[in-house]
Amino acid sequence: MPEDSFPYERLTGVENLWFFAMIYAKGDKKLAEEYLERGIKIADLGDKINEKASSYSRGMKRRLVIARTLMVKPRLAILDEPTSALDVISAVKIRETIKTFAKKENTTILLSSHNMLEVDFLCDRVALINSGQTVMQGTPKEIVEATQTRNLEEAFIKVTNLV
Amino acid sequence: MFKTFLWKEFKELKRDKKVLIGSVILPLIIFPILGVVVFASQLSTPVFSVVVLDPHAEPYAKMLESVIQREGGQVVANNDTAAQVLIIFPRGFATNVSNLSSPVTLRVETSVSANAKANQILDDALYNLTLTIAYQRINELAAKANVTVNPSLIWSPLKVERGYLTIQSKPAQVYSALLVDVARLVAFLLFPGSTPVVFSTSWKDSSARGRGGPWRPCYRRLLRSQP
Repeated sequence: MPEDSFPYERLTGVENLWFFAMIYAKGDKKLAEEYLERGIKIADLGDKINEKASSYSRGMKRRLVIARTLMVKPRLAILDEPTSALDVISAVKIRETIKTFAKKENTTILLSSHNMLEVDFLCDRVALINSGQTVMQGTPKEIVEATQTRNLEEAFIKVTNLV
Repeated sequence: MFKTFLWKEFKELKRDKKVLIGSVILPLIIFPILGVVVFASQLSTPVFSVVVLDPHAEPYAKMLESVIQREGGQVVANNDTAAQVLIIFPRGFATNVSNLSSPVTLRVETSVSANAKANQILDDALYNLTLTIAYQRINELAAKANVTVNPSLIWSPLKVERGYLTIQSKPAQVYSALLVDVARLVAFLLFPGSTPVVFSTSWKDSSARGRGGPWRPCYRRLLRSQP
């Protein structure tokens, strides 16, 4: 899921999910219906799912896009800054969705983010990357302990000598 | 898969009011209006007025009027304001026809509102008049020289015998040339239809990849060349 991906504005939430479900299912309607059902659950948009995506808030659009990525139960999902430019409530909801889905479906999620608190909350393993180079990796706890800092943000600053 | 894309495109198109208005509703309104305008302009009878200031030019005027009427025009009296084209035979017109060293002057005044049909009829009538005068002059010359002449062979002396060659320079039948004309016509019709699609596709493609547009590489090159 690219950082700036958006749903098709003139389609409803369900139609957006159905379109991608049919593509992933390669025309198998039964499988597509299964994907759609899961997508609706992940998006958790209530009745709004039947409205056009153009009427959605930024956070709702992002949830729909995440739902369309995760509904097919991918073995590996790559999410590029899934909560960037979102309000606090939307960001919290999306983080919860990702965390619950990864645990429940046993899916590997490769997530890129500048938000170290988000990384700490979501990730089992972290690779700190600076200028394209991996400068450190491990579990959030291991990194914090190794750098003798209080959190990942401070750890990143320390290992990259940015401040 | 194709059906899924078609379904999605159709749904989006159906909900895009601008596209709907531009591609469906507007043509439904504009084409009938255009059709009526063109049809009306073709249906209206062009009106001509012929003024003869030289009494000896009367036969030429009659001939001109008969051509105009035969071609679907209407000839009215000189003072009728409905006339779109006014043709004046000036004094000395008939004399000048016989004077081989001078042109024969005819004055034509056309209203700016005259339609294409009026101009077409006028051209035909003037061509007929020119032909008549030219034949008359050729006959007069022949009589003076005391020779027998076929005026049409002097007016139109060139006889063209047409033949066609294939790309390999072998003789081809007439239908081959017709086929090439049809192919040209098809290419001509398809060209404007395909151009926006090609343009739109390449534009979208390049902007999605480069987050710029087709001009982006040129722009970068230009920037790099700056000192």
